[in-house]
Amino acid sequence: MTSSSVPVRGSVWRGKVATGALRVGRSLWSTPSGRAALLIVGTFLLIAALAPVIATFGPLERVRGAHGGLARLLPPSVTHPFGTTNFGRDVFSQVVWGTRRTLTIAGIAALATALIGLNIGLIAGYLGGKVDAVLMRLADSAYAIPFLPLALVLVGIFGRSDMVLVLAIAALFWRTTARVVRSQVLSLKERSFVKAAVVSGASRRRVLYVHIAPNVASLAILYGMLLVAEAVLAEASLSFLGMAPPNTVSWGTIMFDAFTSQEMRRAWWWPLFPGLAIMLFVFALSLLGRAHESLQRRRLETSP
Amino acid sequence: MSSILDVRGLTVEYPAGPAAAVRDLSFSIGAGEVLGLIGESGSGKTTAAKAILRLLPASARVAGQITFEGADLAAMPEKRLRRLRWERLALVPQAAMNCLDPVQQVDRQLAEVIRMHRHTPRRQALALAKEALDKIGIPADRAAAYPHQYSGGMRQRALIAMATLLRPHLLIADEPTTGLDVIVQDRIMALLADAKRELGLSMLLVTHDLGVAAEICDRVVVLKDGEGVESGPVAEVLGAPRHPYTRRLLDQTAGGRSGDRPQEARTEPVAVSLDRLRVRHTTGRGLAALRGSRQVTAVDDVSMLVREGEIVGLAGESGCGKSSLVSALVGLTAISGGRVRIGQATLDPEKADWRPLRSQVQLVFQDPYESLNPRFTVRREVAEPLLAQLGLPDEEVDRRVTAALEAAELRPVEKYATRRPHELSGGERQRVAIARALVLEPRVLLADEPVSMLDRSTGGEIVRLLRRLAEELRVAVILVSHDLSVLRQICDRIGIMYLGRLVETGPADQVLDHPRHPYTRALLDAVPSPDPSARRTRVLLPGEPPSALDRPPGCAFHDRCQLAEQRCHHDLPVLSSDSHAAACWFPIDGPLADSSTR
Amino acid sequence: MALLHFTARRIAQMVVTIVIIVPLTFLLFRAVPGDPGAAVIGPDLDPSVAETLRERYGLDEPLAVQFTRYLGGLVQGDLGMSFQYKQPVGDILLGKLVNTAVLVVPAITLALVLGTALGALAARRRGLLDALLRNGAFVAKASPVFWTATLGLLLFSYRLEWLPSIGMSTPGQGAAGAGPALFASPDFWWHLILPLAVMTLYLVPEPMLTMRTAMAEIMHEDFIALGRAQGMSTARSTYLHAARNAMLPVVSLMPALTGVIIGGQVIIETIFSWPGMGRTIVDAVNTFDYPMMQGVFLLTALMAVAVNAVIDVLYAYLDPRVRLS
Repeated sequence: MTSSSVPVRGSVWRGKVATGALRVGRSLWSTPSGRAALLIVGTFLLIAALAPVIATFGPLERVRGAHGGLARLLPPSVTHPFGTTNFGRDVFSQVVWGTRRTLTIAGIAALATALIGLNIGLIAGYLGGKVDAVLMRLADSAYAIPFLPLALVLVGIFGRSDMVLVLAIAALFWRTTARVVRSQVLSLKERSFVKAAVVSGASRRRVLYVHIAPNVASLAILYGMLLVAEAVLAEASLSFLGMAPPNTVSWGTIMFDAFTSQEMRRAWWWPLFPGLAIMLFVFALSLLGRAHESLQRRRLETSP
Repeated sequence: MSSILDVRGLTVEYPAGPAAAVRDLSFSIGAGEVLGLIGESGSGKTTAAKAILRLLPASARVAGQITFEGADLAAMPEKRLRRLRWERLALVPQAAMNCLDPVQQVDRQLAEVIRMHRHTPRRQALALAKEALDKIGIPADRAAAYPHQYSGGMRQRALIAMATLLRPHLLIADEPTTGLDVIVQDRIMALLADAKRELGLSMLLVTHDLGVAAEICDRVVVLKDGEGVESGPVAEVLGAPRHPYTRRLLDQTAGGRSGDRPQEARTEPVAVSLDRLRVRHTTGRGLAALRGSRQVTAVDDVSMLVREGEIVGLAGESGCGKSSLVSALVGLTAISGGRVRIGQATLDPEKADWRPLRSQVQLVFQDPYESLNPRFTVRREVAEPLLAQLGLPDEEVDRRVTAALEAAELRPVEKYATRRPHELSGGERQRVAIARALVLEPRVLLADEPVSMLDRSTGGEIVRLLRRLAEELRVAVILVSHDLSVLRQICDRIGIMYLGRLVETGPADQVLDHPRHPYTRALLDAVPSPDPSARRTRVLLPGEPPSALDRPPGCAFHDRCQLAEQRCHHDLPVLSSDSHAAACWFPIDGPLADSSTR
Repeated sequence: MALLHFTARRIAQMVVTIVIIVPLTFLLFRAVPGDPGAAVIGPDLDPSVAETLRERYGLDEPLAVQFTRYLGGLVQGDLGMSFQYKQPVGDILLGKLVNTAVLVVPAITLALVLGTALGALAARRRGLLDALLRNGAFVAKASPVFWTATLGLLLFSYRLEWLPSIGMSTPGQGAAGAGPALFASPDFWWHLILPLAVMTLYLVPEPMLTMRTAMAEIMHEDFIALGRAQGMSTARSTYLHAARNAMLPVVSLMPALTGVIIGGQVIIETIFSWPGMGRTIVDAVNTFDYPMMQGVFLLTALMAVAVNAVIDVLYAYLDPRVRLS
């Protein structure tokens, strides 16, 4: 028997998150709606990355017209595709810069939240008993606390900052991921391959992170994606209520400026485009979620 | 004989499917006749039955002629068909959990059926429903329960009561006994036979179980890949099959003995011994579970020993505690009382550290489709116990994995090593599971229903593999199965369990051919024989299958036992230390054949 | 009996949740940066006055003593004095709660009725109608509520001038203030239309999509097929049996929706200058009115806890598998 090159040893996690995400992405690309959604999300990511190149003006730059006056409340045109604000700011550039800011905050918040939720779900589901009871009561409390009031209170106490935004999201939104992961772990725990791992002498940590966790990874990735959508909406809502740090530009703050300026009556373009960006991005993410679900279902139906 | 149902050239195709699910199938059923549609899973028998009832999804393309009492069912408008349904043409489905509306009481569901077809006042319909349920052994106080509060057998009986409510002319029974324990199955068969006799109805019975078919069918049609390959009177088809496929089905059912077993008592060293083992579970959820308020004894006072190279079988109905016993022996469930000794190590409730014993006892699980980690290759799967337990060098891991795969007859090893579970068949997966259990070179191998999910021929190979491993590797095997014919094939000794206790133990031949406990006898009697000429006396046990939640005093079997006397109600019989012993105050003497005149 | 037992257990759980939330809130507001008493006494006070107040409110005492006093006040409905209004927070919130309720209760009712009906329709019809309804729901779900509200204002108030844009009534016209007189005036109902429509549109996708999925799944269950074999009409099996089962997931969705509802309410009240609880908390944050913030936060959280408990009991009542296991 030749010892072939398949290594039996080594961490199962090595490179697994990256390849896992790649595998999820590749299977999503195979469906039409998944492909459309990936294209939209990819475009937004590109815009966020290349914001300085794409934006024609600075985020807070006050644009002056040919005669030296401020370019106030101009309707959409070639120079200003999304029009301008009452301070002569270019809405298109603001939306581009806002993409970068919104996606960064939402991405960080979603990552933190998904990791918290994943681990709480894993531990609660696997250990069960009192640990589970305590963690699930905590999750119940997190469900009971409404997000926006909590976030407002946190801003009221700690002031307007990005940290507070991320904290408010992470403090509550872990609950859904934790519950879903927990119920998945509860069912995996009863599957005989996990019992087989216990019988073969694996430690609790080994069973949890080598045998169970990789099997909930794709679920965690899906919920991470949906969390980005929730975080975008949360950030935008708070910013719209004027809770973003001063002198920052995100999709929500543009809407806030438009609303408080009392100029919406004249400048319909001002609130239209940032809202459209939010809608498009969140819709694309939900499309990804749906494509993922239908792929899962198809996999279930075709497996023997 | 005038035919009640006449099917000509029935063909069912799915646009997405590669081949026709049913192809050019023809048969007819006479008045008062029972026709069996038999075949393995995927042979198209259920699809054919559904096509007759016009219950297939809209995507199915159905061709052919279906004449029921002179009317063309296929061409009948929906509205007329609706009136025909249940009045004259009723269905008994396989009693899966979701055959009844989960949020409605069972008697109401029966009453609704009556009221859909007859102008019966609500109260009267409910009374009729209760009466029908009472007739099939569901008393009035259980009639108003919800489906999830019924056992599988009760649900199946309720479905039969439902189907016969309106006295239909034709009953289509789709796998009505699948997934039920033999004793429950026997009761269902008796009910179907009664319904046929009392109502004079005709029946189309869809089943994969040749024993069931042999017992109640007049004629059978054998289906293979959607085509009828053989048909005729049941005595001819099953008595003298002409088509090789029918012959193969019959061979698989027979299940002969494999290999010669030493007749004299074994003298090898004891590999594992159980001494008055007890296992308790806590039931209830939430706060109740935390307090541990409700304790159920799943395994009680079980003592036995298994020697090296010996195979001991454990049998009993679901819920008898055989799986709890296995799970306690590998440390998945804590021991509540008694002792387990494996080699030199002893475990009891106070000293229950399984870690050092993990390499001594290994387990093969029931479902090969979920006992392997879907993300691991075969090599990684089999190596996992070594990686988790022993810090061996890579070459040593590789050598032992290869040896284990060889032992499980997965050859050539290189071909299988890099595959993942979804690339393997059920039998191959079960071999991988066996290799994984062997790689630690255990003293004791437990197998919990290892072949119940496999088809007969594959199961036979797995069972023979276990026999070979016991002999060659001198490993002690405890084989758990509800199927006595599987145990007969390879076991040296057999133990029968009832409500957590061993009620009979002894050499396999002795127990199966000369049972001494009335319960063992009932288990054996309930198995239908695929030989149509065999006539057995049906001994129906009264009452519902027992529950460990509610254990009768004395001998737990007394309320269902025909031989029970006063003493059995309060005195608990124990097993003697004889080689063939029964925990019974009035054990049966003499061979099985002599007492069947009772 | 079993239901009673379940209810008792659920109430015990509710108490546990409250026991977690109340001290957390207390500690949160003691964490205001700077002067530890600022949250209770108010900002920008003369140091000597602040000192007297601090003594009067007992802020120099240990946390445990303060917490006991705080709890005692809560039990009596004392939520402190609003800095901005110089009135007890409890009294102010009572009026605001009524204003919120007249908007949110009809919105939830409408959303549930419309959502389940449309969801059932989509599941039954499949095809084009289903695709339209489903994608519409996903677009509605993805649209931030302040955007749809803004677009509603732009179109119906500014461009078409059909509907009023802010407040619960036209200033100087009809009945002012809150109470039965206001709710009886047609002017109020006129003002209610747009916020109610936006709120309903915002809430409708979740129950609709849940209903659709649940219906589609249940239509594949064996008991539906058996019903058809028994000669049951499609309408009966769809709307009596399948819908009844599909309502269960919709009911169990509600607890997860409370946060969504409250969030939407905050934003809609802000946009339409609707004098309810949501607008009040935003104002409180902008004016550093800590007792008010705390009052709104505690009240909404406790109400959410209570509503969730009621829904769970209702669910158990509807589903025998929960009630009788």
